[in-house]
Amino acid sequence: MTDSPDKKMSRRSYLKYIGAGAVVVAAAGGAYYLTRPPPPKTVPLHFFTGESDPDSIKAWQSIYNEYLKTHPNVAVTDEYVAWEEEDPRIINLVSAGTPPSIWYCGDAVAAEPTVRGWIDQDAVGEVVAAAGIPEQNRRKYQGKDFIAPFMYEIVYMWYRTDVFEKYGVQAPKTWKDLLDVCETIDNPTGMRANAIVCGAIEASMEYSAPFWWGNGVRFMDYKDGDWQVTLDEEPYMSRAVETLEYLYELHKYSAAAPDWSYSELLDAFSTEKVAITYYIGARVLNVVIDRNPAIEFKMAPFQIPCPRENVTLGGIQGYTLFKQKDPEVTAAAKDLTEYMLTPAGVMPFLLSVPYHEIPADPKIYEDPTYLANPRISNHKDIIPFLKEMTAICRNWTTVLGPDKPLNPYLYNLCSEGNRLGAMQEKRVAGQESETIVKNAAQEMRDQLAELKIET
Amino acid sequence: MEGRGRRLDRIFPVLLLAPVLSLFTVTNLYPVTYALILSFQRRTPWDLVGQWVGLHNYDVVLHDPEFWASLTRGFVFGFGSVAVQILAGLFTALVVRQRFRGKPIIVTLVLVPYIVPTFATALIMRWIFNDMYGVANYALFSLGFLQSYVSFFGDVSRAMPTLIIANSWQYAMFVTLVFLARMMTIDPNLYEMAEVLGASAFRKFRDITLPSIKGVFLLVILLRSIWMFNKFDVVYLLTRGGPLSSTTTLPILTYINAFDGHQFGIGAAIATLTFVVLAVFATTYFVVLKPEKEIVT
Repeated sequence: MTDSPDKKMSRRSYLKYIGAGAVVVAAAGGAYYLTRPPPPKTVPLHFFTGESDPDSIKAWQSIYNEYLKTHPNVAVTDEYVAWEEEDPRIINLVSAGTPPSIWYCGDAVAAEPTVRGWIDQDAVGEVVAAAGIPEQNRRKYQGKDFIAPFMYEIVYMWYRTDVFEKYGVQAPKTWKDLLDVCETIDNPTGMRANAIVCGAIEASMEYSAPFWWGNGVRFMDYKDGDWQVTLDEEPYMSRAVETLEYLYELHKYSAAAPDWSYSELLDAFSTEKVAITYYIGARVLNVVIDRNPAIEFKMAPFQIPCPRENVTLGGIQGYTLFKQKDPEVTAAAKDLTEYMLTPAGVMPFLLSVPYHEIPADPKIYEDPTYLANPRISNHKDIIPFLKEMTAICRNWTTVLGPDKPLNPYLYNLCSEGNRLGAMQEKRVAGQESETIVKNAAQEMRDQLAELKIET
Repeated sequence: MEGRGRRLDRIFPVLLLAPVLSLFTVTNLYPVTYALILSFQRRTPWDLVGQWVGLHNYDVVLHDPEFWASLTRGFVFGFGSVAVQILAGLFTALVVRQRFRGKPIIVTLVLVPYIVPTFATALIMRWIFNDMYGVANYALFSLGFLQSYVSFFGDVSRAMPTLIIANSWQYAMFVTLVFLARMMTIDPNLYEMAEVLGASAFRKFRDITLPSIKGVFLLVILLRSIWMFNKFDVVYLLTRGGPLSSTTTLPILTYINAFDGHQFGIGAAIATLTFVVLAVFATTYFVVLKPEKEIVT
């Protein structure tokens, strides 16, 4: 028996049936769309930051989830990128016309967007006023706040007290002391003296800045009404060469390789591969408590020695708001930010990594909730040190002091290719310090020409 | 009626191809054309409209020593990776081709590196070659090849070879698959005859296996070279082009210029020149080596 040809469907019939089916589906979908109840209007907020620590992320999520319980008309999408991706990502978001609603950042990275006019300084000012942020913590551009800060992150060093005791050395106060201590305690086949990162990696940029600034090196200066590169001008040129040579000497007692990042720094100290490390804040302490509690009480912080200027790198951190097209987004962002600056919003974050986030308001050190945290109460002895560091810290925008205008370029010029670490990497590879400094200065000038903001 | 039927017969194949052509246009043709136009413009995040600068970007790139250095490194990385992958892939294919107990399990395990996501591979390699805790350092130090632990990815002289090995671990298995597929088509009687005639394993490989896989061999060289020359993900994840640019290849240089330096036009120019280099390579390859003849036979 063969199939009757009448039973076979022609191609045209197939297409007719498919077309008819598509029309029916489209009609049904359209009818549903037109007759469905309108969805409730929510205001979308985009929370963005370059902080990717899991504990900090959990703290933020718990804070704004608590807020959303009483604000169902707001929807928050959060984005956490790696530190070095923060700046490019912000530029891409703003260029695309979709700036974040709320940005948690340091005042150093917020400076350039502020000068470019991307930040809604009026909205930020209202948040600062509502939060009652004291004057000494406020950061302003052209008289208006550009960040609503609530904590500091500061660079200093940690050392093993038991190792120092064993070798009969003290916490160093000068460059010579530091070098002598490293020479004394270094064990090339065992525990190395320190961890001086020497690669074009973000970790190297942050710690080495206090060495450069502390030796009076000025990468830029404000002259003739404008910011100019001064790295290769005297006396800064010879100080820069001196700093590079000093870091090179220090690196001889270091376990660090050029590809080390923050995690290697933390690992090296917590697994007792090095006796001295640096870090931004007290994450080292928290990592040690988590992974190697045996040395928790055998470590102490000390300031990176400064030959010429008593300064360290530290930034005030907080929230800032970008200019938005939709005023409802601005209003919702302000409201959420104000909530995040209340004790209910600040405390979970400060306690997510104890002592790493340093409260900008010193009254918090006496807050019972703060002191109830075991890590805080067990290490209260470092509070006076942290207060000292807070008093002398400066960042990329304010390194020349508060009487100079905001510098919106220096952070970018130094973070481009992790310039400070790149200079050290070249020195360790054998290049001449003077050539390295001169080339770096020229690269900075070329880059500055691209970055110049018309104001 | 018949005319309409003929029209439909002509249109129908086009209608069926339309989705694929649309996808190709959107995901390939449009971005490539856009990048080409971008390479003649000066465009930054602060000036998205851009200015037409003609060949200025190409002039800047071609006079930049870093471009030529990256091109050289690209060839080193590309050909180095291909060589390692072919040797490892061929060896694995020869081993896996034999009959032995547990062969299906071993074959599956052999394919695992190829299906592991690149990010996971990079993480594994970072740990294997870690200068403090890595198993590579431990093994080489224990066997007496090293006097002390060394930095693999952090040392200018070691970074590129380590990168080649790390990258090849994943992609050698693709080569294994391709060779294995070709070897399966070789008549086993040839090997039996060779066995009877007293040929050694090496003779069998040289006189039977190698000629049979020559066509595939040449094709694998072309494809793997292009893919390795264009490799971005593994290099960026493992070294970001460092230390001291010792592993900066053209894709990394493109990324650095476009997204770190915010010079989209320059990045597009480097990408276009990369395409030109590969096109010259592929054309030369087909003209000189004529691999299509090997494949037909």
